[in-house]
Amino acid sequence: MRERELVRKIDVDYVSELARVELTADERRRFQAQLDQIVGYMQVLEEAPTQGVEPSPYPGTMHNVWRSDTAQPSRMRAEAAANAPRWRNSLFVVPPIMDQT
Amino acid sequence: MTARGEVTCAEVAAYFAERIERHNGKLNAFVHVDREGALRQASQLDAEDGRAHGQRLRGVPVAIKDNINVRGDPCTCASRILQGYVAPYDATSVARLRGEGALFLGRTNMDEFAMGSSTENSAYGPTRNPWNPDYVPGGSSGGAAAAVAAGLIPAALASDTGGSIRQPAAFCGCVGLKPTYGRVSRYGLTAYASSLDQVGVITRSVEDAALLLEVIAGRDERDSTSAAVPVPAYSRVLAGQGEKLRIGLPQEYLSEGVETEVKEAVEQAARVLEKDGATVMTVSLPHTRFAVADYYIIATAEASANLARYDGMRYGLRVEGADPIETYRRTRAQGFGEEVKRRIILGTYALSSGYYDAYYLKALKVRTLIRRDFERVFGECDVLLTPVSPVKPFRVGERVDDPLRLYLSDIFSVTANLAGICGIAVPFALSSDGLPLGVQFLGPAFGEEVVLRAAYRLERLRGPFPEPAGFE
Repeated sequence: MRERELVRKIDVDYVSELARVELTADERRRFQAQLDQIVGYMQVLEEAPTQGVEPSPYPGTMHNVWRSDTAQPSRMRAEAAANAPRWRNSLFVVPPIMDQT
Repeated sequence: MTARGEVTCAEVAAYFAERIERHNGKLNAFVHVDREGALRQASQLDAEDGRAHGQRLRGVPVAIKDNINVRGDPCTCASRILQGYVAPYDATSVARLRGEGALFLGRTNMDEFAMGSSTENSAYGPTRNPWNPDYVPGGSSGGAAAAVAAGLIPAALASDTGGSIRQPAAFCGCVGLKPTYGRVSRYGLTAYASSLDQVGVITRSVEDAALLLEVIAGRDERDSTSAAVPVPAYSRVLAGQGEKLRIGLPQEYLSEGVETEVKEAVEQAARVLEKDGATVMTVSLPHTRFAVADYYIIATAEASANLARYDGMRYGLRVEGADPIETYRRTRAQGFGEEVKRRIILGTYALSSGYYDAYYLKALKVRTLIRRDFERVFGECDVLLTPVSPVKPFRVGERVDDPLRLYLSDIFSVTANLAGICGIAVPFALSSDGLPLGVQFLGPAFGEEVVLRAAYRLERLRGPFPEPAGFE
């Protein structure tokens, strides 16, 4: 693949795996057709004269902003935890991610 | 009126609560109504005599789009994945409205996670256009626009990532203001695409939009992108005389592909303003044709990262799987609607190994070209006058199976978000099928005064705008 050339095909199976979204067979078929069409349309960007142009990750110029590093009380911890499907003592309860054996 | 003591805040809250109760069934504009909470808030205001405090919004009910946090209220972004979520804090914009005495009556419907232009992608079902229930109200803030247009609420707080305030405002016959990136704090707005998202308002008049902006604008320590730029008294500079506006008509916004009636409304508005003394000139924004592709790469890339947090661990829904990865995949499969999945997959693709330079980096460079287009034309004119969308309001269901076609109709609204500038939609005419047609003014970064003034001028010249029938 040449670096500046857009690629016209999207592997929906692979990308949905990366995105952690399980698709039904019907969704996979539909998304493949729709996303191929959308990605095909995006080839128009190849015609944009961007040589030597700086990227703009944000509109305008962003500057780093500092604030004093002082601890402040938060009343939110218990309420935030209570929004989780499972929680205990203001903590999220999540499944183990490592094999215990 | 509440300031003069002619009516109490509780009477105002009860009046609008009753209107919502009577008419919301036809529109599905509100997804959660908190009548009791608003009445409590109103009685408190009545008891403490806010007249003495000079609160600017004392007793004014403001609806809140379902992606902006109001402490103690649900905030679901119209998504199954956030069912049951209760906001633990107020968004800064909400806190500022609250500080001025605004009342919060309920939460408005939207496309899930603000992804859409028709409010058909909602876990609560579609919102209907108050002018004709067979038509969409636009989106993603369709609930907010429909509620304001039908007089169920005087104003609404919403978000605009690619036109989500301006396009539904235009489709429903309201004023919709998208401020400059950095003008209003996004703290407490659920993130969709962080370099594009901005909080703004939908109102019945330009004056109301100016007053609300005055309240919500300004630096906030909790949002590092909010700018330390002084906030003018917007509501007091509207009628500013002596300044002859120089209005640019971008030729790319009036080219082929724009529906005739939409184009005619813009041309008519230009003639009216010119007759009033404005200078109207044709200008060019040559990179406009790249805007839709550019926007849908940047917005979906950012969305794929922002929405990674919905993994079944910290919010609402969890669908158990054999291992954590399967739990993520199943939770997201059941929790997200189709358009959200489509955009997450597209964004993941644009950021994935081997494609990042070709898509995301390329899009960021094209964004620079689009920004420069605007910087150049704002050296020649004060504001731009354009369509909000190339199409009139369309029928419910008409475009749901053709996402690309729907994306293409965002072309005249996404540019303001890519460039970070401000824009406002103003209702101007009715189409042959009796639906509102809006026009848009775009202004330079932190040029809210000039777009508000232009919009106010056009509103005066236009005269009173008709109201949809059936909401008496």
